[in-house]
Amino acid sequence: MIPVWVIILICLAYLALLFWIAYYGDKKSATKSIINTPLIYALSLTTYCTAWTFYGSVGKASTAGISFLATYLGPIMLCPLWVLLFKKIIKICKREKISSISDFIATRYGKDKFLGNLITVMIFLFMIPYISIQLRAISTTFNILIRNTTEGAISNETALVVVGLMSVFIILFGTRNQSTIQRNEGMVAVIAFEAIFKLIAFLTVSFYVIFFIFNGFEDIFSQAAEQNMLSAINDIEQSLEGGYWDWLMLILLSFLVFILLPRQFHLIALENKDENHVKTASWIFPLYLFAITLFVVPIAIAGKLFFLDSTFSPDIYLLHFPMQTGNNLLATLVFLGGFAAATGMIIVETIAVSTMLSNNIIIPIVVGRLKGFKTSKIQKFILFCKRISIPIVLFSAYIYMLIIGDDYILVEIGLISFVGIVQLAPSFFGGMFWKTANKNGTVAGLVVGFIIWYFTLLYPTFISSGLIGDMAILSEGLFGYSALKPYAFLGLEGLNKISHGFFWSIGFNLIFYVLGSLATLPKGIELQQANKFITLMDDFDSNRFRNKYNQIQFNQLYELIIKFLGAETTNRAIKKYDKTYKNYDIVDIGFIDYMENILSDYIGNISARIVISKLLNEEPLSRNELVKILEETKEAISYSKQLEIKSEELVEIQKSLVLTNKKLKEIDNLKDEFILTISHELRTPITAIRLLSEMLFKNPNQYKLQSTEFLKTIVQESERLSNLIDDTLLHEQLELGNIDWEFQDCYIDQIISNTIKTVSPIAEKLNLLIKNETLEEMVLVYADSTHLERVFINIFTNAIKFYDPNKNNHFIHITYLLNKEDIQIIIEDNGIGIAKENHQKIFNTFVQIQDEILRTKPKGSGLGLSIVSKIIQRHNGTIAVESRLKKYTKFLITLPRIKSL
Amino acid sequence: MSTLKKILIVDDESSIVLALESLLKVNNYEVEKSYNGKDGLVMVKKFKPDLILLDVMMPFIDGFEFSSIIRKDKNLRDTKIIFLTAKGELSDKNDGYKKGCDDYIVKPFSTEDLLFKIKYFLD
Repeated sequence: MIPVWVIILICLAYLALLFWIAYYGDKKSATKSIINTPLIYALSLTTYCTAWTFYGSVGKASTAGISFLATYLGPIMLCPLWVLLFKKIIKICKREKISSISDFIATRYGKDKFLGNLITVMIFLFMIPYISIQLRAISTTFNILIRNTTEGAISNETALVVVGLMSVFIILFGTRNQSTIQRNEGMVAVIAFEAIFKLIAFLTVSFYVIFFIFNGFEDIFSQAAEQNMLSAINDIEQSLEGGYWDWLMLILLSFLVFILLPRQFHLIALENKDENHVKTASWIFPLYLFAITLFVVPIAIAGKLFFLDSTFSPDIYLLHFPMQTGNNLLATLVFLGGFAAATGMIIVETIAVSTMLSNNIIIPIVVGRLKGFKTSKIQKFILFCKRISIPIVLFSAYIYMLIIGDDYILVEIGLISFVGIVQLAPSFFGGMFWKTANKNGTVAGLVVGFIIWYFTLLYPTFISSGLIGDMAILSEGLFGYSALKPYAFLGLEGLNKISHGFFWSIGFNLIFYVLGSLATLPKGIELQQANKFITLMDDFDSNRFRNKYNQIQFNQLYELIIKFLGAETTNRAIKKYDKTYKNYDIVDIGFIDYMENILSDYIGNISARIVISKLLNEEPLSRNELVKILEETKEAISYSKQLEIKSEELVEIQKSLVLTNKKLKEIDNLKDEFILTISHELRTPITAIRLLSEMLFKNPNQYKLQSTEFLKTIVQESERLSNLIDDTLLHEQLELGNIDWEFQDCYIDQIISNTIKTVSPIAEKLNLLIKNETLEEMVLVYADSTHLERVFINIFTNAIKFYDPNKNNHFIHITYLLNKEDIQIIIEDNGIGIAKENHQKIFNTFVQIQDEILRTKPKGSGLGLSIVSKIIQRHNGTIAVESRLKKYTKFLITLPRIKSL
Repeated sequence: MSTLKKILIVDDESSIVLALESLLKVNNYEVEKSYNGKDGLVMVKKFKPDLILLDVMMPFIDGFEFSSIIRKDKNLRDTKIIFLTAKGELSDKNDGYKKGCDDYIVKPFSTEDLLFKIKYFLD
């Protein structure tokens, strides 16, 4: 037997070693980091194995058989996903300067202060009992070791000493500066050391039991077979009340908890030195778990055999083996192994929870009241807040342990805490992969999950321990509703309490999270954050802000932005951001990023970046630079302003603009063609006139015989020229509507007989007969007689011009068709006719149908029928043509009548 | 008497054809005329002119098409073509050259200019 004072000395030496490792690790962090290896990263993650694993897995295996494995299967099954999942989490944390898991979720959902506080409070409630268990484990085992009693009498002093020592340790090595982010290399070194230490302790005592107390595995199992113990331990389905369903639930639970426990998150994401460590760690970690659970079953069986008549809890078999066999030194090693497992957890969990507590709750409250203080003093205060929150966490756990004295409830509540922590799962994982997820959904899910969690897990525990309520609620349900039985919620029975509570709380949580997110719209900043968390854009230049962002004051940024956006827009944009700043407040990176985004909407990405970069480098923008950027982006500003206000309208306008533009282009093309044709038409007679007159002028003798013909042609071409000009002008006026119409009631037969008088001299020359049917009654039309006469003159002259020289007699025959509402005038001739394909074309401008018979170009402007059709239109009438080549041509003009007076 | 140089006029404007025909005959050229591209092509083969005065804007077969058809005919390789164009646009000029005209003259033009160009090609 080793004297007690030696044992205490060994414990103190161990603690001193921890302090030294931490000190050394911190010292080295500045020069050559000792923790920058994947092995240390993997080992640090084994903080997952607490005193609970160290002592409890043997205890669990001896009472509930193989089911103790469920807690480890989850994390092992997660390993293949590590690289994908952890790397993403690590990237997000580095970029967004995440300081804790509550910060992670709050940042994702719009950097929401309320959400941060809510999660912090929840985590605080969940984690305090969990830390308590570890404290209890230390004090219980210490008492057994020192007093050598079989039942560890509750010794509050031991726990108090541990709390005190841990507080000092964490303050020294866990809060080295006032930065929001803790990277504590010394502490990580300690954690890794403790991970190895607890494994060695566990394996040493396992060998001792198997090979020294018993004669190897065979001995244990054959003895167990004799006692008929094996089946209870090996039967997987029977090991849990709910059979495989419980297994599934517990595996899923541990799977999620492994990432979401604040200490795990802290070690996975925040203490990670290098993303590439994840890959190696993902196979080292399961190996470690394998090693620490390998001997659990044999030891549990050995314990059952060895302590057959003892009454103490199987949880402390491990410590009792060496003590019962008088090996005090080994017992001390076991104690220190358990101590390592417990303290490892306590240290990291305390840092994680206290960081949350100070960053989210204490600092905002305290610093808010320190407005008038100097910066250096405020910084001291912040450091103080961080430090004070560590004993707050530890002493809360200690006090909790004092209040809930009962071992059973303490362990029970540990598992319940697990389920509580898992409530973060939907918002945590959803936030990384689902863009639509928003703050409202998160809060709804968390609150509902929390309520169900409380009702199905914590509340019944309190009832059965007699702390509150009435046992009847457990059997009858709340208010007598059987659906509201805490252990058989909505009638679900047969599951283990933990998996039952897990199923319902996470189920409702998920439903509310999804529905809440779908039903409500996220704020702008939430969308922005969602993008950052989900897409992980590589071009995001986080280093850009790293150095200088602390120094940017709100008014600096504001004055800059206002130059571009104007006060109204700037204020509106700032209002949308859910943090408020005052003049000299230092703005955070998110706000700068947000404002840059807004700015880029107005002046474009690159300009916005230039402007903000200028600010970050503290070089004020020169006036010239400012003007330059403004000029470059003036168009963009007005365009995007319009877009913002009336984007839909703009789309409409754009559509009609495109259409109008197309029409304009068509008209423009027509116009071009028109001018081209006109100039061609003008040049031709001029050419003839010029050539002929020149020839006559220069060599009158040579052209003596032809001079009459020449002069006649000159006169004709001059007439043609002036007709052309007249027609063009008239056509243009009709097109533009610039004509002064003189409408009045006219008799149609009068107009026609006037026209016939005009053209008859030409007709007579060709022996062309114009035959006008007499109208049975006087028909009145509302017309401009001058223009209407022009219509008929044009049609008559066309008929004369295109007479068919192959026929003996030529005629124009005018008939009428009287209707009630209108009169149709039919003008038929027996000229050369118009081919069918040209019937419509003739009313277009500058269309002249080639004279197939004469094989020369008709003499005219090509505007005549186009003018005719326009005049008829103006009279609300119609004009159509019927014709057969070499047979006849018929023009049918319909004009509305007015009732005779 | 040496053989006269032969010139074909293709233009749908009878007044211009009248003027050109008289002018060229007086200046000792043998002249034929066509009032459109179709007739012109028939006449080219029959008449085998040394030079063609070709209007550009004609219905059915315009001057460009006309000249490109002529250029494919080996027998007419030495036939010169002068476009009579009412439009002085560059694009038309280029088109004309591409389709193988030797020169062009913009309407209205003087007798002197035309005779000078013709002389240049035929002497």
